[in-house]
Amino acid sequence: MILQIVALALPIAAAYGVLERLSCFPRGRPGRFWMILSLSAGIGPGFASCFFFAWLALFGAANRWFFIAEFIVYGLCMAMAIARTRRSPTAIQDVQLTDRPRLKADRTVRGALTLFALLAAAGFWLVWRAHPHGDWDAWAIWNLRARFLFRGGEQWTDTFLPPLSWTHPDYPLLLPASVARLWFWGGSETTVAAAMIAFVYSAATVGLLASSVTRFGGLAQGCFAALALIGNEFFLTHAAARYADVPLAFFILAAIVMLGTAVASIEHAASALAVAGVACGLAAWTKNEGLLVLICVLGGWGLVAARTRGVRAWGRGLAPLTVGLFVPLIIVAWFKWRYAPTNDLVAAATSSDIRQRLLDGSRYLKVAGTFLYGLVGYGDGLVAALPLVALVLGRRAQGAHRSVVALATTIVMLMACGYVLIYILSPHDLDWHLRTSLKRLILHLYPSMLFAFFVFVDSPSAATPTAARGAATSG
Amino acid sequence: MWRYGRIAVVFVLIFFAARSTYRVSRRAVRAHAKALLDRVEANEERFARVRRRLPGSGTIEYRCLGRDDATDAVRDRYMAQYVLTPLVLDVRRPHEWVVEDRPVVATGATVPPTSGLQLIFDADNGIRLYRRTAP
Repeated sequence: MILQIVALALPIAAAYGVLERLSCFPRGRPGRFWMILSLSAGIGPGFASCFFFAWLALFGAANRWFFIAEFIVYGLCMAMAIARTRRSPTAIQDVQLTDRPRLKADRTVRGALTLFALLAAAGFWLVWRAHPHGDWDAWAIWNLRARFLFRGGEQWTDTFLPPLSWTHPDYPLLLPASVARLWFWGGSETTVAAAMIAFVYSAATVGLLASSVTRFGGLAQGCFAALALIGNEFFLTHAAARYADVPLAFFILAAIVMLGTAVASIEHAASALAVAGVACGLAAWTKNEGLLVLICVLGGWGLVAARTRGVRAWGRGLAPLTVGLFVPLIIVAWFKWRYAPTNDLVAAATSSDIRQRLLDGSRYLKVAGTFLYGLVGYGDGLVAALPLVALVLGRRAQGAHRSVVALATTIVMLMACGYVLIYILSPHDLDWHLRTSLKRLILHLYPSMLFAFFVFVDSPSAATPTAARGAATSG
Repeated sequence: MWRYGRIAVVFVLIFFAARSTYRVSRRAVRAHAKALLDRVEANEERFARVRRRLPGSGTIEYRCLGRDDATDAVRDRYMAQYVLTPLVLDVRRPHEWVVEDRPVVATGATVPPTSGLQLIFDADNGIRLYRRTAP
């Protein structure tokens, strides 16, 4: 187990070393450490899974040279980060991202978040004890593929054979490759490896939401956003189920947060866009829906950046975004071209079927109705309560914050439209398809929705007695 | 009044966080108490002795018998695939090695002909291993 922890920590540390040097994370900003750590916790293992897959594809199986190569790659990343002499700026010149002073209430809310985060971690541990292999999809799809990568040796590609078409062999390999990589490091299969990966992505999602909202709206606001995420039972259940939906939700959130950073700060836009590109690429390496993320992020960024900064600025932003996208997208293209069979939704489609479904109005009504109903009832009513919460708290977002909210909302809306279109074109029984996947698709967007919401509204702590006293003292 | 509204928002968020963490933990504790051994772990044990007698890789035939419910049959097949990986289980075409899985002893269940199949191993837990001697 220690070796598996080392295997997980290495790419996270390397990613931290690289991200920490980027100018889009200026020193002294609130939530900086947690934001970089959360991003590293997702991006590091994501890149490690790309490297692992590339190794298997090139050399057939992992051997001791794989470990040596990993040490060299991650060592080089860390050495480059340390050696880089570029000075990190101490403050953002163009936009003050948060102006809220630290209050006594912040400490109280942070304490509450810590408590519930620990309780959620305990719940995760209990679920792992009860179901060490995870829920149905975890063992039937993701861990099954990890077993092929680990046990299969040179025959790991057997996982793509026709008798296994029910296992969705076209699904990308971020999760299975991450788990199999830990098994290679540890020398044996353990259920702890999949649990560790799932836990890291879940914690990173909570951490990234809290730290990014902290960056834009202050510490208490960040903690409230994280509490709202932990308050969604479906998120916790799915995190512990070891599916790929939470990692995908993480990468969508990471892409939106980094694009928001780029929108809010021209000075450091290039590095923020590069990180957003990495997140988009890794989203596409996590699930097929990640390809939709890519389209929606480019579209959303295009709409908002062109409106706020002009078309030229948007055009300039494409270059760093493409740089970030490059490696994960090459891996996805390699996988799709060389190994993955055609997706079941695509394989079953004929042009006449597609035309018929597109012209069937009842499908639109059913999908839109179910989607709306699912969204309103999401989080046991928490989503339904958000408009009321917004009414009570009032709007806070102004200037650059409004652009950030507009960007996040546009991307989430585009994603939702994309999902609706997929349902309309689905060759499967529509009721079954909606029933089995809708909640998971909303989960992909949920952390990003919370990000947009809590950047938009004012902090609840601003009017609590403690906060008021703190504000009076500091004033 | 708005101040109290804001305080209420804080309590709503804390309530949801407390409720979700409690529910997830309670469900896990109940599941753990209900089944001493996880279903996947139980199947790992069921197939362990047969697995040792099978080739290291390749495609084998799999037959699941005695299940009336389609969902149960699908789950048994998926479970068998999971525990027998990296072997590929084929339910459509004949192969040299045949694994027969009877998760439940069903009365009056139709037993398919075993002609051309030589019994190699009976694990006495519903799992049998055959080798095809004739096409």
